[in-house]
Amino acid sequence: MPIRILLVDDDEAFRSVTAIALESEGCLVQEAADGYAALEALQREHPDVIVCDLDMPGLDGRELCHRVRSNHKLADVRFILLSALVEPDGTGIPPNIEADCCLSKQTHFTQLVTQIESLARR
Amino acid sequence: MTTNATNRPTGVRKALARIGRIRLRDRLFLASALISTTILLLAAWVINNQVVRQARQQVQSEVEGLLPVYNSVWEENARSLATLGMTMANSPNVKIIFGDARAARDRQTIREMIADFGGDLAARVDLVLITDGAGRITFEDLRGREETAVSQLAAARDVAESQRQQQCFAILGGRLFQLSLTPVLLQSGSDEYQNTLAVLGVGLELNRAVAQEMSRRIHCDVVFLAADRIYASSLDPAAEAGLAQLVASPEISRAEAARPVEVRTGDHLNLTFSRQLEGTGGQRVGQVVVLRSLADAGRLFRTISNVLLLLWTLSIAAAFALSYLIARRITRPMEELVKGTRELGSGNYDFEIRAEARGELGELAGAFDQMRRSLRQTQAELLKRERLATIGRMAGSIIHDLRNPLATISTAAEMLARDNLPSERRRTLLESQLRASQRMHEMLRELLDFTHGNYSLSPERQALRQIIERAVQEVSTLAARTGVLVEVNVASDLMVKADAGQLRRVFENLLTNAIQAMPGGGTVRVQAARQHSEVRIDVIDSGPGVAAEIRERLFEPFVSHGKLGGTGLGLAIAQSITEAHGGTLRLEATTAGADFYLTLPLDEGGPHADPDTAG
Repeated sequence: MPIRILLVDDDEAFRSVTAIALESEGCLVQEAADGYAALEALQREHPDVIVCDLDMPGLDGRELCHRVRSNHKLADVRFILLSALVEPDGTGIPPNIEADCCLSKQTHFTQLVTQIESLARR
Repeated sequence: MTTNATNRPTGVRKALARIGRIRLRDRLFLASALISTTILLLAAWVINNQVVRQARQQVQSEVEGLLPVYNSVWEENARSLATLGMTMANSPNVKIIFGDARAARDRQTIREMIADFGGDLAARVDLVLITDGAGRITFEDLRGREETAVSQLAAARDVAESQRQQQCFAILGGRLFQLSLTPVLLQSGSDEYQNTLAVLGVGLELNRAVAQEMSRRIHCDVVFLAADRIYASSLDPAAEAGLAQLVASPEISRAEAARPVEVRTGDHLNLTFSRQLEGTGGQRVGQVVVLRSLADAGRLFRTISNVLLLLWTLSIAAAFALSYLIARRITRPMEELVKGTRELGSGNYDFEIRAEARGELGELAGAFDQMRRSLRQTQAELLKRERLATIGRMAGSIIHDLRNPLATISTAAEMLARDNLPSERRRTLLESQLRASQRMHEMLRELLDFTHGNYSLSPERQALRQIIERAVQEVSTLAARTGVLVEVNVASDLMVKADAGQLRRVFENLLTNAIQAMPGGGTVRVQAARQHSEVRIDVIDSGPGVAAEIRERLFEPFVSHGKLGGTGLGLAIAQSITEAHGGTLRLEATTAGADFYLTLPLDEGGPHADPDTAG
């Protein structure tokens, strides 16, 4: 059973490339261009893990995470935030986030997959 | 009633306000003049009350101490007269003469008898008189003067009867004498009985010389009163005339009490005591008054007063000089400090205070200068920090915005290196790489444009509504997705001379900002109004408004947070472009939502471009 992922990012190029990379590692990826599109998708789908960009116009990653966490139907969904402002060593993670983890956008996709797998197996 | 009650405090307050306006120098002077005047008046009062009274008391105790001396002077005179009288009365020659009735009546004989006592007697007495046992005067020698008109001396009869020597005062022929009356006795057969042959009187006139002699010995003026007039005194004639009222003065009778009393004569005070001059029967013959002037004490007071007056004048002068100097030393540096503070307030950090003040003011000036220097340094540091912060924000923004495309490119490259990818995916990856690198290119160009400030404007006459509608179209997808309604209310006849592309970018930025501020949906209104030769365009949203802390720095680069064009330069660029068009971009102060408004000069001349054909 492949891991189902909802990938949310307003940067279309980044989103496409990341989706291809994750799929090549055996994941099932669905894409959303922003927070609103993600909320729409979540009404139809039930992913195992949401991988979401932190800084997006409109509904951003922090807010989306908050909405997911407040929805008890999505209680088992894992949430990974990606941010360009976070360093690979973990510095720059903003405080008070409700995500399971927050990673740098520079994180190599294989590491991202490892993280996704360990979270999905929990 | 109420007006009265309110009027008075107002008057007082006005007076206080007037005092408050008096210059520092005058205030210092008034205060020190008041203090020195008070001190000196107090000193005068104390001196008058203590020193002068003490001086007066000293005089009084001196006068009281004189009483025994005074008495002894009289006693000495009396003793001398008594001895003289006794010597004469006991002389055998005298007894022989007085024993012979005929010889006793012969004036020549008696004159010779007196002459036998020699110059000694002549030098010491003013009067020699002889009476018979009944007190009838048979001889008198008034030392060359006229004889007294008196023929009978009652006192002499007393002496003749008592056969005892007596001292007394008497007025003879209008002249005042101290008398010693001695009986000349002749021993008869039996031991018990003696015959009084005559009474021998020697007297001293209480004249000016006696008064002066007495005065010399008791250091006081002496006045002899007799028959209700001044008989003689040690005073000079002028002063004596001034004493005329003294004779009738009631104080004189009181002055016979044990303690001296104060008596005013002429224009000064005297401390006085007096004694009666009594006849043999104790009857009042005259009076001796001893005067000790208190003029010394008065003079002391006057001297002190003069010294105090001099001191007062000096202290007032000193107070004036001192307050002038102090004021100059205080106000000069003060003025300099005030000037320095004003300069500092207006942002001049290089104004140096030229006050050569010492002491606290010097310290103040020093502290002020220190403050100025540290403010200047702080200001410089702030500017530097501000620059660093801008650079930091810029770096952060650039890093953030370049990381996305970089991550895209590197991940895509890694994936492309794999062999087993379908060609369709390969193409997606390559396209993504291209888009990412184009994006980077675009961002760098924008950054460069902003830093160089060149926007390559190609202004043409444009319809404002057309530009705005195109911008709205650009953001329509984002607006629809966010649930934001964009309303445009711009008249179609408003023409501006503008670079359509650049101006559209301004509205795009403002609209995107507004939409992003309302993730939960809302309304953005764009409205334009003609203002003289300008047009004012407002972009009003119903979002939460601009946070107060970034309100002032909103148009600085990298301050507004968002993803406008990815560089954080959105508003800064919008403002630059507007200004390049000769307009302004500002944030209206509102309580709800945000209201960005820009003004642009209208292009009213020339042929109208038809907005419909351009749209």
